[in-house]
Amino acid sequence: MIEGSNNLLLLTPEFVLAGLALLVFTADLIIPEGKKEWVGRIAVVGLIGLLFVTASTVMGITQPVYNNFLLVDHYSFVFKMIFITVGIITILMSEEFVKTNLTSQGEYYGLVLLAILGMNILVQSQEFLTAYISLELLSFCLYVLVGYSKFNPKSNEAAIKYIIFGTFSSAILLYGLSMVYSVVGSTLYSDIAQVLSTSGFMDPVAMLGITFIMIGIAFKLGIVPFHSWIPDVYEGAPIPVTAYLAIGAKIAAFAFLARVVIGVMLPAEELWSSWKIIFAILAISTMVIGNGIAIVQTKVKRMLAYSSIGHSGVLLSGIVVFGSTNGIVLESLGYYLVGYAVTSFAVFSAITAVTYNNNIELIKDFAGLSDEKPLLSASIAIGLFSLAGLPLFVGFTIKFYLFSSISIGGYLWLAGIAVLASLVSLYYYLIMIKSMYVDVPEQERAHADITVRWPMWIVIILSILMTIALGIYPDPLVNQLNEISDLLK
Amino acid sequence: MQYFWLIPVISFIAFIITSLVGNKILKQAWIFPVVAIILGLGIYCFGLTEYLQSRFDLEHCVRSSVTGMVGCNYSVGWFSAGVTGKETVDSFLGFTVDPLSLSVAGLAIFVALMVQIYSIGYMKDDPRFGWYYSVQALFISSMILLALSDNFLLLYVAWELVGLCSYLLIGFWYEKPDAKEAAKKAFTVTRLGDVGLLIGVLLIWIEVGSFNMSDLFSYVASGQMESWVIFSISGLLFLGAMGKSAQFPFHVWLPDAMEGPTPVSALIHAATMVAAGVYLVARTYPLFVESEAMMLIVSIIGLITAIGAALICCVSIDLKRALAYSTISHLGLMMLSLGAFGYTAAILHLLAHGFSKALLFLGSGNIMHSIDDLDINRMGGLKSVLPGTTILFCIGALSLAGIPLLSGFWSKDEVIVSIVHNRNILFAISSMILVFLSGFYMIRLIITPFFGTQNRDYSNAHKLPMVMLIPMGVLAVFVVLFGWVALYMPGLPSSFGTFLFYSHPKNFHLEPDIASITLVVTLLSFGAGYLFYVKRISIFQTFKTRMKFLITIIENKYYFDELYQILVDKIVLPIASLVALFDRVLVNDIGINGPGHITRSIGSLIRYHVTGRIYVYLGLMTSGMIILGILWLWIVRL
Repeated sequence: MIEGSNNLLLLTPEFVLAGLALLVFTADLIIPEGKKEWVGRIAVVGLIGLLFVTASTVMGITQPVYNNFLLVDHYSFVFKMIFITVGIITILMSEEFVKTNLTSQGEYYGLVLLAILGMNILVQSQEFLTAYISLELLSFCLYVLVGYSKFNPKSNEAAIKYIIFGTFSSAILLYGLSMVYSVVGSTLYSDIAQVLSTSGFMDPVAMLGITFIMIGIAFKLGIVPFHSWIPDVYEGAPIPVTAYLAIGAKIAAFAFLARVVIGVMLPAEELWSSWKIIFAILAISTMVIGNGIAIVQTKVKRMLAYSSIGHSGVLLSGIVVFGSTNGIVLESLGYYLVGYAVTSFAVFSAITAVTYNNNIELIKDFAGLSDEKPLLSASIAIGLFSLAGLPLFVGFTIKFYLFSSISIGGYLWLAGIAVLASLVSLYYYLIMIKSMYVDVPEQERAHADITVRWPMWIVIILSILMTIALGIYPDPLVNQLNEISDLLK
Repeated sequence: MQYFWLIPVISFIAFIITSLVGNKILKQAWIFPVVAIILGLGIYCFGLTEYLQSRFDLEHCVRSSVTGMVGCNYSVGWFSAGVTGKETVDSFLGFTVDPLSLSVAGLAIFVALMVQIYSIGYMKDDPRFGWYYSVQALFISSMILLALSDNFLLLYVAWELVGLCSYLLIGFWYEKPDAKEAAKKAFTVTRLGDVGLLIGVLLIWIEVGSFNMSDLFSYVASGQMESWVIFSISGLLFLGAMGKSAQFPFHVWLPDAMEGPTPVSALIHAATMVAAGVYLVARTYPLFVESEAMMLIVSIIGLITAIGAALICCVSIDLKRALAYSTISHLGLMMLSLGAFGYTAAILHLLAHGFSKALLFLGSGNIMHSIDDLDINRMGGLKSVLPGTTILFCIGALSLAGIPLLSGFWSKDEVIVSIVHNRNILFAISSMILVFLSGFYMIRLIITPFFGTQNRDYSNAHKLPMVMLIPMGVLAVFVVLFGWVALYMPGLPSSFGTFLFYSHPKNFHLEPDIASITLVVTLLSFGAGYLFYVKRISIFQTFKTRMKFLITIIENKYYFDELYQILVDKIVLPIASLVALFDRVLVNDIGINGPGHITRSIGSLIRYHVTGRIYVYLGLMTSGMIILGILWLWIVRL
């Protein structure tokens, strides 16, 4: 065992994950066409094993690795567990879709695994270049996944747009980073924070650099005004990939942003006092524009895309109170992310099941679903109610926790705006629910050809149960998340 | 005892399963709820034994300094929000096992088991058999939750859930307009009380900063709460109790609730749910005893309810409704006893009454099942047709009338003793009148249907299956034997009074003078009933004609339904239509749709920047960057 900061055993989960990805790619070569779902099942079994590996190797440990480039701590542990679980669910819900719609089915699963690897390293990096490289690993996997429907022009268009905007934002991030480096001479968060909190606060180059870095991350998160790519990409991507983008990639980018804010900005108090106003403005514009445009959408995926922009805004308003409260807000944010993931999976998996073998994409095409597929439409309805923040479901509890921490942090008015935004969101979610439960379908038995296989049932039932269970009994999970709030103390 | 939480959970699982598959396995839908309740009974019995044997040694069990009883608390964190200090909402999912919750939960589990077995026979031809059993399972789950919960939040949830189940089961045959109306009435009337309970619970939160019951009690005991606050909180809680326990003036819903299936009436509207109000008062007794005025109010309301309902019961011609009025009367008696500091007596009477009244209702169910009629005047001579039912019904009725050695005798005697000792002579006389009345109506309910002259043909009466008679037999054994716990309780050094008590244990002792007066009054009432209904002697007939006016008033239930109807029609509805107008025009059209339209049109306007063209997007983003930069500079310059 190697002592000190180069204890590579702490990176066991990452090594195992990389090995698993390679194993999956190899398995793809061996497993014949028509049985490719087994590639995905190998990946699922491997990821479930990885959950245990992660829990047994890095749980409760706080230790830097690679000369402080990476930090293994409770925060990264929690997010790793979330990413791996998101990966498992995504693969399970993709199976039927991949089989019916995609060519080169095996690599699909491998790319999902590599994306998780990117996310895992991203949350534990303490240095911008490492973070940048893992972000690129994540993004490259997603570029390919978004364009995976090779013969679908929409998917191609989405992939091109995603690549252009992705590189644009990466370039901005790198540009900002180079400016910061020119002043600080280091890319470690702690070094940058030190310079910013002492002399560098008024240095225009460093300031411009920090601004560019933040804008780069805001691009990845889809914060207004850097959100325009989101609806197009979400709409064009194959729907399990959309779910992966809206859940996995969003959580990863957010965990990264929180880490950067805590590591770089919070120590520099003067800097943070001006930046938190900017964050508040961004949060408000994101909530207002995301929820506002979602109202007039007619396509399900675009509606969900704008709704996810709205949720980014809510999350961002949680960041505003970093430093004003003790760790409670970080705990609430973690809970929000988990609740958002569970709920979104309830919606996305059921929508995937409805749409994978036909070309339903408009909200009004869902009319009559409740009569023909009661459980699927119940899953969508429960998920949407939860996203809107109605009680009994986790969506209510996460919003309750987050908004109360925001108001305790002294930003009651921001919490008020967030509540109003949730109110608006209820409107467009209800349009979808009305379409399923009230509206008369244009043709009889429009959804007769939907068949749902067991991996999908597992996902749907599990996510509904979790949506309700976490909504009425949040304490065990919140206690788990309690320790990540140490970061803010 | 730490597994008590499983009892409601198992029943809740049975509810989910039965709801999902109930219609597929229609005839076998009873399996899951019955198995769940048997498991629950098993857990309960183990817990009870454990409590009785080792309550002083267990880690979670402490003697409450307020009530003096040993309570075992088990709780896990539910949710907490906010940071430290007054803003924190730390709520716990917890249950408490103390004599009170053990008593009420035991009654609920036991009667529910009997009723559910009985229903296998009674409801077997119903097309919604599955639905019946799933609601039964939900009810028992929430009733146990209500009895066990140790905080007001959970209690409120369970409180509303039992109300919901009651609503669903009263309106079980929703094809009948009467049942639909009755369900609506029950729900609305109890809601009125529930609002009081909710406000009371919120007030407790504001005052104490916790929903936990023990926190409230120690806060009250520490003397920090002002007396008017105690008065208003206990008054609001009592409002909830009045609604649930059908106390005057909320009593109007219970007789109508008899539209539901008879086993439901036995379980929910006689033995368990309606007793929840009494349970609530007993549960929050430390609060009530602090307010002398509130205790007096509780007694007075209880007395009015008891006498008023007993009078109606004497003239009611529908057997089930008569039993319902008798239930209201006995609930009033329990309230009266609580108000007169007769804590043990009230709970003992709650249990004795629960067993006896469940037996009586199941007996009326038997009559319903075999001759499909409930009009007392059309019955008569049923003893030859339903011999078993006759015996069982008589046991229940005599127990409630207070015949010695049956369970009702012991509990009633304790109630009377506490009234005589703690309240003035008016209450004592009234309670004697009450004893007379309840003896009188019970003897009437025995004589007229079972022993009266037979005036119709019973040849096509349905035979009763054993599955209906056996649970009744078990209940009857309890009715006969249960009362002895007043003297001696197995597993305890002494009687029920040393098991369940308030502030200090007391042994039951029969006070010969009071007991003999009560007994004489009861026998007098039996004699009067005999003369009135069997001999039909002329003096009573003249009495009846003389008092025609009064009897009409009583027969019309003092015109309360009409009064409420007028109130609703003349006051509530006009105000409601005003509110509706306000809601439609101001809130809906301007308040909701107005911003809605604005948001929508803004949404349609700003969507035009989403063109799908990359250069437009990039341009937008770049300008966004520039704006952000300027914004930031401006903020820093400030």
